[in-house]
Amino acid sequence: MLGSLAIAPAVDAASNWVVHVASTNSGEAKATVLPAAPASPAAACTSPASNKTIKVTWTAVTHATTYTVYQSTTSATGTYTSVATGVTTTSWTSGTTAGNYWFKVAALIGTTWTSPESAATTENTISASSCAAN
Amino acid sequence: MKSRFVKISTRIKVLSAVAGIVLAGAGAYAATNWVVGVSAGSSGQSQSATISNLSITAVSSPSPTNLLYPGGTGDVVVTISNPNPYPVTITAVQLPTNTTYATGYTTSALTTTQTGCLAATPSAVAWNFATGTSGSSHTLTTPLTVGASGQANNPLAVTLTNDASMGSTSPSACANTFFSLPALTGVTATGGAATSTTTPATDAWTS
Repeated sequence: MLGSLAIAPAVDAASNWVVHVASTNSGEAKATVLPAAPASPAAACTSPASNKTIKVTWTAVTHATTYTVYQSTTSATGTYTSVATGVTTTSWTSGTTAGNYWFKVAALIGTTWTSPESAATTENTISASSCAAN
Repeated sequence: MKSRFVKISTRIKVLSAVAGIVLAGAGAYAATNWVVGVSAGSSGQSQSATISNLSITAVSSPSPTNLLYPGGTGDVVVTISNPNPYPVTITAVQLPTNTTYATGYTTSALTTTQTGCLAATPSAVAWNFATGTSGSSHTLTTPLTVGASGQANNPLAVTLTNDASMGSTSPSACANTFFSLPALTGVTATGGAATSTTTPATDAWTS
């Protein structure tokens, strides 16, 4: 049959077709798992010891955007509180307040995907005049 | 009727007409088959042809290589079926808005939704490069030709590399979750003779 059968909903140009795709969904994707806890956390007094600060380091976590550092001042198994959030590198340096310190680290991807806390670091002590590993 | 169709098919090949393929959505478009006008170009005449819908569906195989994470992108796997007796070559896709989100499911079967990771939550998973305007067009890196009905490479499995995105605010409930991407708003294609793309294929739009 000659002549236009203008049934198509929206022919986009003089000689083009418009047809449908029979579909209600168009593709499948998958998300990765939550991040693992940062590996190999370590804490060591900065040099010289008279700086009275502790540097905490850990291994990068894939896709992590920031890290949170937690500290305990009682024991390795004590209560940990957040002392630094939004850390974008794989290290963080403490303040100079005297005390005994253990640290843990957690990774964050985006704003809500949080890893478990890492294992605790070894103990370091800041005194009135220096810093030392225990 | 058969000879008539052959004639039409031949003309389609000669014209190598461009087809804009629009997703079903409105009730008026519910029919499986569509009769569309095909211009004879310089002759100034038109010819009719019966063109059946293409089907683009989510599949779990092959498995995506790149997985989604907050602030990142991931692969999308689809199959495209062409019920027509001639190959169809897709050259571009039109996307819904960048706030039209995917729903998460517990398994690749996409049957049980993932609590806390729905389109309305939102999951923050959408088509990559989608804009604030529905219908933005994105050209495929390589055209995809789906074989004619009953021929090789039909259906055509395609991995669209890094063509899904996950916003940084995606909830943690979306981890290890499967997503059904929202329906495309359109596909641009060329009908007529062409060498079909070998399945499974890899393609993408990159802007």
